[in-house]
Amino acid sequence: MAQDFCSRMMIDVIGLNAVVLATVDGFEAVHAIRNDLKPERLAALASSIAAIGQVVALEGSLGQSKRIIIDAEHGYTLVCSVPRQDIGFVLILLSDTDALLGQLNVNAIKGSQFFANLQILP
Amino acid sequence: MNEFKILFTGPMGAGKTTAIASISDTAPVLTDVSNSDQSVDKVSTTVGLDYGQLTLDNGDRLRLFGTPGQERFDFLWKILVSGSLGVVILLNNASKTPFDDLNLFLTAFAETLKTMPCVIGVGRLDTHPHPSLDEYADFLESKQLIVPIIATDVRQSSNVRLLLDLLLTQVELNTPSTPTP
Repeated sequence: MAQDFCSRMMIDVIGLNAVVLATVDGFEAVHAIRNDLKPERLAALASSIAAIGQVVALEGSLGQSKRIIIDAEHGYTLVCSVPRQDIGFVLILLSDTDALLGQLNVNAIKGSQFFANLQILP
Repeated sequence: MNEFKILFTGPMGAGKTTAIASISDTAPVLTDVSNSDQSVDKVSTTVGLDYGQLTLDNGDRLRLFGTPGQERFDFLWKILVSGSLGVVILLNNASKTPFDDLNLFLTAFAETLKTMPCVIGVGRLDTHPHPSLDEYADFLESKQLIVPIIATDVRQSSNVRLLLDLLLTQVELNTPSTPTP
C-alpha cells in the first residue's frame, strides 16, 4: 500500500522525480524514483534536513517543524515530517522545474497524513 | 576575541554529543532522533549536527561542531569539516571493529588531515582494554600518521578539555597530522 501510494504520486504530480519515505534516523523505508537518484542517500539527507529544520524551528520558538522547502535552480525539494506514535518518519519529494510548488506542497501534506495513519509500514 | 571551529567526529556511540555537551558554555544544539538501528544499543542518534561553544581563558571562543557517526551521513562530514581549525576523532573501544572504525574516519578525512591537526580520544578503555593505545599508535604509524591518541571519558569535561588542549598545542606548533615527506 505504501509503495502504491508513492508510485501513484509519481504519476499524478507533474515534474516529480522522487518520493522517498525514510525513518527519522535516515533509513529508507519505501520509495518511487524516476531516474538514477539513490533512495538510501535521499533518506539520509531527508533525515538530516528534517532534524536541522526542527532545531531551527525550536530555536526560533516556532514549535514543531512540519515542512522544509528547498527552492533550487533546477527544481524543488520538500521534506515533510510524518508524525507517528511508533516511530517517526520523514517524507522527501524531489522535482524538476516543471513541477508546481503548490501541487508539491499539497501532495507532501497528503503523503504525510497518509503515512502517519497507515497501520503497517514496510 | 577570536573564534575557531573545532570538529568532533567518530563512529556512532563514541560520545561526540556527550563530549560537546560536557564542555559547552551554552545549552548545546542537538539533532538527536530515535535510533531504529537494532544492531546498535542506543536510544537516540545524531542525524544532523551537534553544536556547542566554549570560551577559553584568553577570551577566544571555540565553536564545537559534532558530526553524525554513521557513514550514510558522510555528506555532512565534508560540510562540517570545512573551515575547522582541527579535528577530534572519538572512538569507542567496546566496538567489535575499532580499527575499521578508525580507518573509516582517517580515510574520509585523509585530505583534511594533510593540513589540519587531529587528536584521537579512545573511550571505554577501562572496560575494554584491547586494542591498547600502543596498538592504535602502531596502526597510525603504519599509515604514516602522527596523531596524539589518549584514553578519554567524554562524560568528564576535564578529559574533553585535555583533548582540546592537545589539539590547540598542535595548532600553535602548526603540526598537520600527515608529516611532509
